[in-house]
Amino acid sequence: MRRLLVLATALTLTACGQTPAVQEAAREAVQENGQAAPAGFPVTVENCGRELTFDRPPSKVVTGYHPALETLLALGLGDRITGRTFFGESAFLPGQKEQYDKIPQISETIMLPQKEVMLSQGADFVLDNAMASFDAAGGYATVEELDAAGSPVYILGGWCSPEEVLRFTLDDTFTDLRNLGRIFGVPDRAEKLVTELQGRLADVKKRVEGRTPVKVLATDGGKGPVNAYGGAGVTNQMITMAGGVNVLAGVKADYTEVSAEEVSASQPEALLVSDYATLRGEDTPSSPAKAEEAFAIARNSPAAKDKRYLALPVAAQHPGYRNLLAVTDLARFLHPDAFAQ
Amino acid sequence: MTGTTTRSPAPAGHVLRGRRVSRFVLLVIALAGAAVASTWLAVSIGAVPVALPQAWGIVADRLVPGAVPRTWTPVQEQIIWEFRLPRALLALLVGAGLAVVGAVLQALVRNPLADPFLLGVSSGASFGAVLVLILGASALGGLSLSAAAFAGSLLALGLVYVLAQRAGRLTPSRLVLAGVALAYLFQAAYSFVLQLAQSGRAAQQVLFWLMGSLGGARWHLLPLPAVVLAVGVAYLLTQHRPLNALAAGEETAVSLGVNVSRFRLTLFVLTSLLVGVMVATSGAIAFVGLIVPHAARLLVGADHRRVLPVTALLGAVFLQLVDIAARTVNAPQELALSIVTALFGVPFFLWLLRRRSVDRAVTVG
Repeated sequence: MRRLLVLATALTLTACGQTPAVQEAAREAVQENGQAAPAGFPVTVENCGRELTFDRPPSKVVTGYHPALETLLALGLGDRITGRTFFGESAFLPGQKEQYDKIPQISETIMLPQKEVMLSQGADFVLDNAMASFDAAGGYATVEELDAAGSPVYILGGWCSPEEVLRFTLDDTFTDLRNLGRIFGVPDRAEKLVTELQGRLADVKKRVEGRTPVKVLATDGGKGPVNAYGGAGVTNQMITMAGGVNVLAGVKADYTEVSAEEVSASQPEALLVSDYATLRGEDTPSSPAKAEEAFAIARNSPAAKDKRYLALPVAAQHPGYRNLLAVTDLARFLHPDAFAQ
Repeated sequence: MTGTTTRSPAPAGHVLRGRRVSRFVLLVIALAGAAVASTWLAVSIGAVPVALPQAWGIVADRLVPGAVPRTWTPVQEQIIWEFRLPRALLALLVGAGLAVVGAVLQALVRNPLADPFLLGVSSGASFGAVLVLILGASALGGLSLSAAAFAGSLLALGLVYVLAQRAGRLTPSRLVLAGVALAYLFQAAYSFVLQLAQSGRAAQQVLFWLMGSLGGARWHLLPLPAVVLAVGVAYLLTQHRPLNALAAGEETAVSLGVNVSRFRLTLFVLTSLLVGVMVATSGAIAFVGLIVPHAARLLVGADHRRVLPVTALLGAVFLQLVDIAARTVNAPQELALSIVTALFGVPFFLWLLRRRSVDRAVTVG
């Protein structure tokens, strides 16, 4: 996940790109035992250049940053999850809080637990949003160590390195959903969800088509330089898809620091403010203050005059189910007329 | 390394001295000119192009309303008047302040490696700032980022004093050890807070702050550092004689009639306050306070009467140029200042070192 990405960069390059040989061995062992693989298995999917092979649908799943859990719950796979991390930075998706409460919490933070706790989970599948929770330097179990322990790791959106984060497209989430459908032996469910989400995006596209794109500044606050989202990465694509245009599209970066004068000159018509509580258990929204900071700098902009901003949960700025749902929210905010009827 | 207080009076001392003075005056004039020129450049260029007539028309219009026909947009006016000019002025102030404090601390603790952050003040300030960045302003009773940073630096100052004094007397070695130890303590404290937060975003913002930035400069933030720095630096500039004595060693200083323990205490409190104010406005900008004083000594010798003004001007020009680079090299993204101070400063300093004798480069007093 982007929040963790900064911490993760050091490790990511080493973590991707190795085939889990142990996985292979484990599969052979199972076959020698004479246990027949379920129909359609073994299944092999690719993620971040690594091949993951599953002999049977995982039934002891551990999820990392919350969008990973949200995506599995959207696929109706809550009963397969045996451990999850804490989530308290923004509201839950409708209906998901109850399921979240039922799953044992194995980490008090948005990160996976440290190595020993993680390995002792005996997970047969780990789903997360970035590499930060697999950083050996942070005391975490690495992707290789988890692979060796029979807990293959899948990273949503292929966010395994800074380069891959910039390469991500919204469509990659459909690949993820189909891959997860195959891994869990529920390809029909996955296809249904893909169709539904594609329908939502198509609906957004139809509604905003032909309308003048709204100039959007996506910010995370700051008095100067301003923390903002440039023209590469997931946030920029969300803005484009929702009928907006990122005023910092020319900045070749995702999350970055941009000078106050550039923000002042950018003349946004609307603000997209990343919303998240910074500390566990703290529920004060951070977005109003951050919006005010941006309005003060872009004082002469239409957005500042109208005080027009959308507080977007930062979890929606990470690949996964919520990310695609949020495109509709964003479009509704940018083009309320288009959703009037 | 002990320095020498005064240059040895050579037989040709008089002639030499006369020539040096004129060279010194020329150097000061040149540096003052460079400060003006670099500030002019700083206002003229930035991430958003504003044509020169507009840029300076805006400044002229603000100074003498109606002096020039208005040919600019409100946004351009905001960029020049609210962002670039205060930022350029702050760069001069902080550059001069950090450099002078560095020079004074090098004399105070008689160590060429001393820099403004040696005595733990910046780590204290960083701790305060990190608390606000991570926990939000409400956590510290509504203190702003810079107020929290300043409070942190005062806390560090107090702790260093308590640890370093014995019967009210400060010794250089105790000061350095107390400062370094507390720096580690505060670093541990803010790292702990950062790790608790487990947020890459917060880490990135904190890192940027820790590496220094003038990006938050606004007019209303200028008066306090301007007054404190002007008064503090002016006072330090008048203390060249006791500084020379102190740099030569405690016995020399005492024999020259300097009340050493009192003078040390004054310097310690004054420099800490100056650093606190600077760190609170611009984060911890590394390298300026370490290298600029040495560069000044390479240019004008060890006498603080010359070192301090040259250090102040050199620091101001240097940070101005560094900030221009930080704003424009990767525009509209900004680089943290400590990155650029080192990238530009190290080659320059190595060049200076090679030009002059190494011995004098490390001579402090």
